[in-house]
Amino acid sequence: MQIAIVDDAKENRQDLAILVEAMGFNVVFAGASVKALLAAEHPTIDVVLLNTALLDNGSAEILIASIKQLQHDIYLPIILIANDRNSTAILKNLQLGADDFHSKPFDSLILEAKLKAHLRTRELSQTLADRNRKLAWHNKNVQQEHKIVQNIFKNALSRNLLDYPHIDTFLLPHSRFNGDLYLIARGPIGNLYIMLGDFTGHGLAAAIGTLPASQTFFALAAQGAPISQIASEINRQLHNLLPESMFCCASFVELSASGERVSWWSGGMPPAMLIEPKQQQVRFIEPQHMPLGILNELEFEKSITLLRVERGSKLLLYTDGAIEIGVQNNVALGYKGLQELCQNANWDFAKITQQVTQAIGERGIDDDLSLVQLQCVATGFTHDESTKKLPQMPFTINVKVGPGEIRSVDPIAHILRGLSQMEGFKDFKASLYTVLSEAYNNAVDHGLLRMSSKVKASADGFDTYYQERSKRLTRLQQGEIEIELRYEPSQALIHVQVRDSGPGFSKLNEDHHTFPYGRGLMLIRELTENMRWSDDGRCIEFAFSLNHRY
Amino acid sequence: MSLVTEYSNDGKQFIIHITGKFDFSLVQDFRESYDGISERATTVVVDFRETNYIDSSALGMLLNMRKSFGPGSRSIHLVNCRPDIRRILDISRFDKLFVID
Repeated sequence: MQIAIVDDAKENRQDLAILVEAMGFNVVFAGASVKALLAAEHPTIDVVLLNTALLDNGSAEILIASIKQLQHDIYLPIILIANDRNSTAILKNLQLGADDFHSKPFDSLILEAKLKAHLRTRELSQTLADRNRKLAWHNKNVQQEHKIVQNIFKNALSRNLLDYPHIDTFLLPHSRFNGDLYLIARGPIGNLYIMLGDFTGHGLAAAIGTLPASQTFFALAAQGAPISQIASEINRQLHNLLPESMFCCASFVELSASGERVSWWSGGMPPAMLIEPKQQQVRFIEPQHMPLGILNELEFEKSITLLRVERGSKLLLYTDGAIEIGVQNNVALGYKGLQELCQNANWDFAKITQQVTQAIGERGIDDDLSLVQLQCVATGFTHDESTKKLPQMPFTINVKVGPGEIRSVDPIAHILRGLSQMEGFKDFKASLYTVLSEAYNNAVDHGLLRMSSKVKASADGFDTYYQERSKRLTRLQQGEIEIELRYEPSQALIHVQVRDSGPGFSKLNEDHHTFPYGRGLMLIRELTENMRWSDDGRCIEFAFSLNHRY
Repeated sequence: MSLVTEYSNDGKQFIIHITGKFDFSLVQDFRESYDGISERATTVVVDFRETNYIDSSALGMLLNMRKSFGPGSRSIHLVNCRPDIRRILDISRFDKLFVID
């Protein structure tokens, strides 16, 4: 233990020093004034022995405080040494912050006991200070980590379609991290996807499942996947990732481009409310399944509910935080309470949030809360207009296939696969496929195989026709079909010729007369320009325009 | 290409998903898919979201399905059609016989 002795009388200092050193303590400072002590450069001091007479000049409070300051936050005991038992001065200085006193004549056993007692307190104070420092460091670290994690969450949700005009949300996390998850994305066919989820618990542990779920949701929505597939994929991920006790209640909604068709999958969520536009009648849509993350892939139930809704209907989704407002104080709002609240607000979302906020103020809340109100109207998403330029280089593709290839490959699919690699062609792929395959199939069926479409008209006609076709194709020995695509960049046209080596119109079976009025030919005529027959009906020619898309 | 079917939760809707090409290669699968359809299913939904191409035989198959259900017994919805597929249905005036969305 390191002791400082402050006494203006040299003898006193020496006597005291001999005494405490005999007890095994170190005297690291011995000086005549507090000023000297404060100015001295010394190692750590554990106890200050201070002659109380030095505090008599009226600045006792300041002097005591300055000594205490030497050790900042750690307890530094000041023991007053009194020449006599002038209890008034001692009492005054103890009140001003000194910790103990010892008066002459010295009883060395008592002094030693006092010193050790104060040392124990000082050690406790030191331990506490160490812990506080560690805690502060740890706290800072956690803050920093939270900041990073928050950023990750922000990035994970950055693809959310937050500017969609026909939806209103009220999302109220219970802590910094939201265990509720609200996702919204547009699909490729003008449709809209929404997921509202509620992970077990709240805070960071609950929010962590948000990361994989959101990435899967956005990826599959961009592909236009059905919600049954999105639900089952997220279920699989969460089942693999989350501990047994954790799961995610969730609803998935897909609104068609027209705004009139709602597909719905829900597991473990409170029933959503569908509000009919005129009378504002409410229909509850009950969840049908278990929450996500519980069942394995084989057990998972993906069946959905399909609803046709009147345009202008509203769909209110919410997590259980909304109906459990006040549950911890035994005044839970409940479904009916929420429904009444919304009805009183006339289903106006601004008013609903106002009243929900009021209810929270009155009843209290103990969970994350989310309210999402979707208006079922046409989504208004337009298909991405391609700005890609068409290639400037003219080219011709010429393909000839004989019986072997006709039996085993789909030449149209091959041609299309090649073409869709070219800039700007991808957008026309589907229509081009339709017209090319119509022309090719006509050439195969009627040119080479001499099939009659009449058969198709009977009850089992379709099956009979294709069975017969398959038979004839197996037997086909000779003949060929030539497909030519000639691209003209200046006209943005693909000139197509499909030619078969059959007998043509000149040796017609009578079907060739009716055949041009079949549905396939009508499609070609409607989707292309200048369709015509040549080479006595062996060759069909048309031009496919790349100027506009369908 | 593939064909998958499912019923909605209430069993009233029968949903057929067609992935990839919807052409004559599906003739048999398509007919068989609705062969044993439940009496409760009053609506058949053909979901085109994952259908890349269709041709005239697909149109024929849809008409055959309609015919096999008999008049007025079930409504058939053709949903999630991409614009190019929608155009083919429109050209063929399918909107008169089916609900197209």
